[in-house]
Amino acid sequence: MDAEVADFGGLFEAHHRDLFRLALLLTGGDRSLAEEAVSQAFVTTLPKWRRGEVLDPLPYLRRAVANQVNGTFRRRRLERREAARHDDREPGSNREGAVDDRDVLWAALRLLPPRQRSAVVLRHYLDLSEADVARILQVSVGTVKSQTARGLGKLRSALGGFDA
Amino acid sequence: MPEIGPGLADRLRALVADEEAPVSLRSGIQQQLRRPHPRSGVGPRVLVLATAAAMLVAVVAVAGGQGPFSSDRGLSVVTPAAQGHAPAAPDLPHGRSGTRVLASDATRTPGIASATLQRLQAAGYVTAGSLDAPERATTTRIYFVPGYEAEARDVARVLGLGESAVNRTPPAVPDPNGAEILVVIGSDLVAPR
Repeated sequence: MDAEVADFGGLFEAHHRDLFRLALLLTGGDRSLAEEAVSQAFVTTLPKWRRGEVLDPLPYLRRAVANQVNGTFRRRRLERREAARHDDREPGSNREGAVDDRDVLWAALRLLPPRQRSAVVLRHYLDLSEADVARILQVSVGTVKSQTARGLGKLRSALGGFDA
Repeated sequence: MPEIGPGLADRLRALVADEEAPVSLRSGIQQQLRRPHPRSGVGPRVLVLATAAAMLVAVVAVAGGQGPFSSDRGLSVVTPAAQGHAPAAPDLPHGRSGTRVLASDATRTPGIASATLQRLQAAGYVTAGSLDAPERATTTRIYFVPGYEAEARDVARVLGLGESAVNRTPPAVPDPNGAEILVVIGSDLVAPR
């Protein structure tokens, strides 16, 4: 445990911003769902933290956030309803003006089913290994590979290449 | 696997680089931190829960034939006490806010565990999560670790159950999560529509 995060408040201050950004990507830009996921991740971690069971907090919290997001998507069956819900949920929706690259990327992320999006984000945004992603998503490495590949393929189609 | 576009990671990072977490996130966590810390020396209690695992499994296995559960369809998650207010908290050794409750659904009824925990949380109890029981049960049982009998009886009252639902022997659960009380939800807590 880092000295700077010797208490849970310190842990929150150290990581909540990055975890919120991760959650934002995992949810395809749903701010309220991202906030809920991060909040629940900290809340569920707190008792284990107090018992000294969380030795490496950041990976633990990341996994908790991913679990919260995926669990919520499962519960709400958002995979089937996503398209209809997205228009008023994107982070950029409060910005006036023309569609820009950010809007395009958010829209592309939201095209992915949640599990593909999780695999792509964990693998490429966090730069985690396939094995680490598999542990977080509680699937096999093979599934991570296939979900990531499918997700990247869809992103590539939507964005016309990542260098664009 | 398609070749990874070199720009994707940078674009994802740039996408959220300016995003700040809502203020409400911090206030929510601060609220959690202000809650009383219910457990010190919880280890032995967890151990007690763990060592009694086989007992519950055995009991449930023996009683398993008590009324097969034909179907979950047509059932709501309304508990018998769901319509009323929670009884006022009596004088309890640990207090409702100092007692963590874990719910175990032995009915396979979607939402029943969370509905039950919400009632207990509304009454002031600290919830410790939920899980599925390995076997179905028709009768709800409330288990407590030593020293929490009064709270267990109070949990029974809050849920509208008789004190016969309270049992001293705590069963083990896969992850007791530090709970002092375990509610194994039987079909008597699930009201037919």
